[in-house]
Amino acid sequence: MEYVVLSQLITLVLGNILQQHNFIESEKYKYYVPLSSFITAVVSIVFFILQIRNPSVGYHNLCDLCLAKNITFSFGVLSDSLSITISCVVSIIATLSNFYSIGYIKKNTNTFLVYINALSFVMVIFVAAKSLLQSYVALESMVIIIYLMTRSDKKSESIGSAIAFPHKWANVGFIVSMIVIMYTFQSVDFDDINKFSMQNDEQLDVLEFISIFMLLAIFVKTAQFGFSGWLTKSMASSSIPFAAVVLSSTVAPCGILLLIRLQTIFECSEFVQNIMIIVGSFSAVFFATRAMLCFNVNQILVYSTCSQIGLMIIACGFSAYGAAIILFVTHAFSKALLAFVIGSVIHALSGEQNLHNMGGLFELLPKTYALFISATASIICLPLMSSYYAYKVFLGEILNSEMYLVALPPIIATSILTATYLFRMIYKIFHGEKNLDETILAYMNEDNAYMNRVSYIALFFAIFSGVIFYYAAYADEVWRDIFAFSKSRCHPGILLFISTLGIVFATIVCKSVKPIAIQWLHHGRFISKWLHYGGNFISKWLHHMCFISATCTNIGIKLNKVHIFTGKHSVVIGSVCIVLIVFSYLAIRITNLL
Amino acid sequence: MIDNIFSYSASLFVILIPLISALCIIKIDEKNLQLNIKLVSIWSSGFVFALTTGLLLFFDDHEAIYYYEYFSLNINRISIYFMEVTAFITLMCTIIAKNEIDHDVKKFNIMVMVLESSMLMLFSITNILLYSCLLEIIVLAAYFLVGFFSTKRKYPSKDLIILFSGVIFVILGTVYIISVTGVREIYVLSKYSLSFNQELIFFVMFFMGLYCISGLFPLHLWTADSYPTSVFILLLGAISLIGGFGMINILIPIAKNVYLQVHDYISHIVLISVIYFTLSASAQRDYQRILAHISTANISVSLMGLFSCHAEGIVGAIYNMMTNSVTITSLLVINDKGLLCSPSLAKISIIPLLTILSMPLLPLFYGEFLIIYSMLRENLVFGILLCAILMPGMFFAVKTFCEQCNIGIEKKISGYDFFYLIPPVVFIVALGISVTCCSTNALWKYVSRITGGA
Repeated sequence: MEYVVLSQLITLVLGNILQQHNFIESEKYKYYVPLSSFITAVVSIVFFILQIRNPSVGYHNLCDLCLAKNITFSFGVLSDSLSITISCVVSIIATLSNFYSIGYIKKNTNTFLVYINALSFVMVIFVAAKSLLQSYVALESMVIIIYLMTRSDKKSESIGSAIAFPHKWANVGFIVSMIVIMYTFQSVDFDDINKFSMQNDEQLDVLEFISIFMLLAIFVKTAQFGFSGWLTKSMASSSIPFAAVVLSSTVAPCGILLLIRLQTIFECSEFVQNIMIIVGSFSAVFFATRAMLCFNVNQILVYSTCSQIGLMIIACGFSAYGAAIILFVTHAFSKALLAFVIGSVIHALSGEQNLHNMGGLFELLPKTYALFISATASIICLPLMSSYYAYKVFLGEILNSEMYLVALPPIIATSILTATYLFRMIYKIFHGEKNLDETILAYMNEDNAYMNRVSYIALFFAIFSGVIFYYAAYADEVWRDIFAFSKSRCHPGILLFISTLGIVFATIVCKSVKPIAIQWLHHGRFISKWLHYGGNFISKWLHHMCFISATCTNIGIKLNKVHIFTGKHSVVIGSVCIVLIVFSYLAIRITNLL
Repeated sequence: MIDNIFSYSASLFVILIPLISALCIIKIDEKNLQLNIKLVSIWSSGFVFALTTGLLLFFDDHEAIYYYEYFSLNINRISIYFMEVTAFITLMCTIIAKNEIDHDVKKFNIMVMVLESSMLMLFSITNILLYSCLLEIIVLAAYFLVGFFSTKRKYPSKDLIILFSGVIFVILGTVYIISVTGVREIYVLSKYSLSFNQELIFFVMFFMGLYCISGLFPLHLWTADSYPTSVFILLLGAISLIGGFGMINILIPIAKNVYLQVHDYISHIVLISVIYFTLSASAQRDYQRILAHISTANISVSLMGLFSCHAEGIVGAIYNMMTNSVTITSLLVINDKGLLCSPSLAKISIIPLLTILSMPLLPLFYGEFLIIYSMLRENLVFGILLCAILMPGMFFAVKTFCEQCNIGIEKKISGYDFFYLIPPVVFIVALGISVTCCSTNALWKYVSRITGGA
């Protein structure tokens, strides 16, 4: 694992050196940084395979910071299954983003590469942290990198404080809980914290206090309901390769890893776990709804991420940490693929991000269309896709629990809404009337070699990461114990039901069914008016208190103006999907028989 | 490790060099040799800084008290730290003043040298009477600097009232304790058994005096006016250390019982100061005022640490005070030279900004961490309140500061600009490293002795 950290550092330093001399944009030197990142990815994959074959835990101490007699912080590199797995994911996605940037970004490529590699390096430091202070350093560094990345774009100078300020509240929660941990357990190492909290039955109220404050920090970091403003604003102005790295595997989901590392503290309090389930459920549904009503593809990507992270928090609330990890891994690759494909669309349309100004691109961008369908399929838990295996484990854990009725409806609703907004994007972008400028149409092409090849490689990982991780984890007992996978698995029928329902609902919503649409509008109009006026008042108060930017008002306005899309190819797509589902179900039945 | 007499001689030399330089400056003709006057000050300050750095690196980690009939010095880790910071700040002041001060050069440099010498002696003196005399000299020198070189007012009367009130309170406290005990040595007084009422009277007077000099709420009016950068560096950087040092070295050891009784009331009152300065910093429009408010907020946080009744809090307060002085100095210097607007130096000039924002691995984080640690142990609610006010508040203050700095025109970098930028940043990093080195053991022993293991 030290070699992974070292190679990430070398990549970062190389990028910095080449950026200083503006070498990255020249033909001769532009592959140096991506190749270095590729070597890092290869090293991390090698370590991942070695770890699968021979699971072990090791720690390499770099230095100790001694502030007082009983206040010592250690900085080093922890090599365990979790750190190696996540660093492997981060390295692969960073490599793909590096190569993607060469094709996507024409100006200031060097700046983006430096920021992408800096973010990956800091994330590896975070994952390999043994103590809370090292994690805190890494989290602060991530915020600074995003802040600097946002400020480098002249148009978005003013939103820097909107990005950094919520993290100050997260720091309050983090510091308070870290200090209380320090004087309760005399240590801030994760191993010591987990060991002492398991043995400590008398100080449950202290543990609850710690977990509440840490949860505040985690909710801000994972951009959950009420704390998502910073992520939406930062991603609105950043480029797709950077967004791919941030949303899929680094900044947004890092709170989940913190939850997993401190799992025993959160398990000491049922109240805290219930909060996680409730907030996770609400965030999952809320952001899926926002994604469904949003028309900016970049924003949809962000809301989709927040929604999926909500599911991971639900998994942690049910103490299903193995499920959270597999959701993390599969989500990382699927989201990266989706980001790359959306980037291809934006690149082909010369920067257009509004769905209203797209349409009818099915014949003009066939490869991108196929990739988009594949990316969507990998997210909505269709069989043989990576999210299918993730949901299998996830729902298996949920259904085994007593409180499954609390979480199951939001999970099903989120899955349906996820399918809906993804297919809505497909219909809006690739079908219907062309709403594009003729000059854009004249220059449109999808023959960017870097972007296409990166997307194909990302597709490979998006499809197979789930099955690789699933069988690697289940095949080995030690790995199963490490990742806390229980033996319960969800019946495939339930997953098929969910994915089918999602596709059917998406098809109906986007299909030209006027009476249904008019009825929905009429029913919706009363509710939307109430939301508009009532929500306006509440949202202003909430905006100041909880960083929600006129959410209720937006929902009200959007419902009033919902355009029911009359997709001409919706019937074809729906039929293809149903055929795929039937075929996959038959394939699974045959496999089980064999 | 060096011999005791050698360290005593070195510290005596350190104290006397600025005085000798002041005497030399008196002899130099101001009209024709202005540059010479400035160079004498710079070289003197540089030599003092080099000597104090040598003392810091090679000083044996035990407390050394040298008794002579009328003049004795107490050299310990805390005094050396404070002397080092004072020497550094004075050096930066003289470097900045070389291009900034064009009138009354002689007066300015003499005042600065006298101020430096007095402060260095103040941090090592053991005689409480001499301490209050030195305090008066420092306040006089500061008052003259403010009066001669303030850009807005010629006769700062409210500065006079507040500062000298502080000095009067200190003198009253000193006279009282000497009249009660007949002892002048601080070390002996800390072992003397006084009644609770005697301690209380001394505590109230001395605390009020140091509170006025520190410029905390609501007695902060004298810190927030416009002065030349070199004067401001001395006021914010150097003089702000006096209050805290006096409390650690004199007030707490002598009035221990009163300290144990009233520490929580004082820390709660000082919290008001923290809240006020943190929030008002983001409402200022002049960058000097913003930095003054940030500095005073940090001094208030240090005071909270001092009165948390935990060794961690006191050590954190020491770190906080030192780092605050150096960081504010570096921000003043960097901004005065327009270096914050320069993209090529952004990677270096961002370090002081990140320090103010309590970025981990930078020294201010350690101080604040220890203070919040001790406050949370003492009173959970106030600890959380301190944390909740400090972190977002400092962020907005720094944001406001950066907005004010960006108004300036981007400057072309010259070779001399590195002299203004590199030393403060290197000093901040070195301070961060030294905080975590083995020297903390001596600091903890000394602090535990002061607090009696509280």
